[in-house]
Amino acid sequence: MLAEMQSAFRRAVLQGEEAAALSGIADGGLPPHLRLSVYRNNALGSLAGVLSAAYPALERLLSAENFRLLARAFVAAHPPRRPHLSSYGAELSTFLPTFPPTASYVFLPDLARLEWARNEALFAADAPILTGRSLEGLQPEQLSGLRLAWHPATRLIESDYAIQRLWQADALGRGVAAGAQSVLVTRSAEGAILQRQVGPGDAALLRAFAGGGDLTDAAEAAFAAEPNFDIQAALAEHLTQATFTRPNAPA
Amino acid sequence: MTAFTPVGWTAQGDSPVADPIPAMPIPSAAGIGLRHPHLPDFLNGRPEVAWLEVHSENFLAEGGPRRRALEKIRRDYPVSCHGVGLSLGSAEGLSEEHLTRLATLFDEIQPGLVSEHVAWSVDQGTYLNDLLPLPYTEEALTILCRNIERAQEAFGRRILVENPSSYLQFDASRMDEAEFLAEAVRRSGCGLLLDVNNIVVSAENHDFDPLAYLEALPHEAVGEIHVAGHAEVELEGQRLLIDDHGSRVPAAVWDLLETALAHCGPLPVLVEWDTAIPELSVLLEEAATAQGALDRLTVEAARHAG
Repeated sequence: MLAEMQSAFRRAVLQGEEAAALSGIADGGLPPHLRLSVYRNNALGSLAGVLSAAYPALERLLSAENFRLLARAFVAAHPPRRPHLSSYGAELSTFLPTFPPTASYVFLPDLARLEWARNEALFAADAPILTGRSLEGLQPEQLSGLRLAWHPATRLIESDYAIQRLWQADALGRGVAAGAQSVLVTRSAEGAILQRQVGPGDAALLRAFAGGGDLTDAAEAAFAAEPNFDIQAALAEHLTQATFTRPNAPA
Repeated sequence: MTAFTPVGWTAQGDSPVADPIPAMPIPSAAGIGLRHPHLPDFLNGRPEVAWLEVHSENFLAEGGPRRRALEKIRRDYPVSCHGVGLSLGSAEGLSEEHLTRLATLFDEIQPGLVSEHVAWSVDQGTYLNDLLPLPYTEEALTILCRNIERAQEAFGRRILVENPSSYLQFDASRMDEAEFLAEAVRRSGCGLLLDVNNIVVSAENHDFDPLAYLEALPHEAVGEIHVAGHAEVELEGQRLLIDDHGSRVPAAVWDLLETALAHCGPLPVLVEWDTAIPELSVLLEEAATAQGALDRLTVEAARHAG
């Protein structure tokens, strides 16, 4: 029956349990296990390629060979559930602590979250970008009530580790992950992925807006997190870096 | 929320283009597969090629620069959508979620052709990202036809299905591949995407005659032809051809293209290149060779008519 054959094939490809799949393969010339291995290598190799495209920094830091072992284990544990693979690989950050060779590198999951944020930003829905020009002519009392909504591509990754430094590093040197860093990922009007480190005040400001707060709430949260926070400079930066979408539809 | 009317309020940045894209049929000419490294060539210029084919699954994200690039390019070129993930051979049927996503893409970019493969890649909702082979049985044929009919219903159009390349055959098979494909066409009303490279690859791997295979297909159902390169590996002293789309089209494939065109008449011919992707100019050279085969066919036809 076709359904049984396909399940046997799936187990052979993902788990390496070949016996059931091999029993139905015609034996002519090349032995069945070698024929089956061509499919297994294609499937696992192509999915590992999808992961390496989404996680280039992780691959660089672990080495291509180690990343390949990680990718193969991940594919077996979390095979794709959809054929559009731009959404494949989200669970790598939660898989890393469960994979014995990477379990002790406690800072890698946050690096993976950062790389996944970049991947999500690339494929997130389109929406108008809020720029400084959009806010011209607003009165101070209108400004204080502004609720700035994140653009669908915007992601904030807050970490106890130096994920921005890790993301740029060539190797896992001693102390490279020391120090907390928060990183903001946005997508420019031209579609480029922008990434920069933000301080605790800016992170609090962004979190407050994400929670539905207005500028007054957001400023309060930002100053609580960072008393010397320069809110004007931070907002100006967000308005040139595509952080927010238009706050409401035009009437 | 504070109500306000900003000055100079315009939709800035990446808001989607509103104008509907008019449909453009795929001409009986040479086209190339549009791959990500070449997107800038098509966004910044207008390379001379008659049409383009994309892998549908690469453009199913909600938004972003890649999807917008396709919308822009589609306004300049006829585009065919070639699926790699629908899994027409799955016993469990098709994913309704995937059908809906594809139908939405087709509504927006209005492809001139929609095609998929005679293969499977999904079992219990898990996607294996490879075109896996089917046994050629009555059961598999029934399932394939049911799935093709469901896809054609969801898309509101006829689709083409591609003959596979394969590395193994099943003891359970009760008909040969050409017979299986001909029967699928007859029962479901779909068309064929004839991949002549796949014929060369499978004929070598399973020791059959590529010309006899080509003869046995329903030529009037063929709506498009693919050409590509393949790799040759040796496993335990045995030669195996791997359908990797990673090199120039070899002579055996060009020869079979000429034969296929002689049987089927002029058709859209696509050059596929998916691994070790070279400069665009190399693909355009290959397309020029394919166009040469089409042009010779036209000259021949004129000579016979005259």
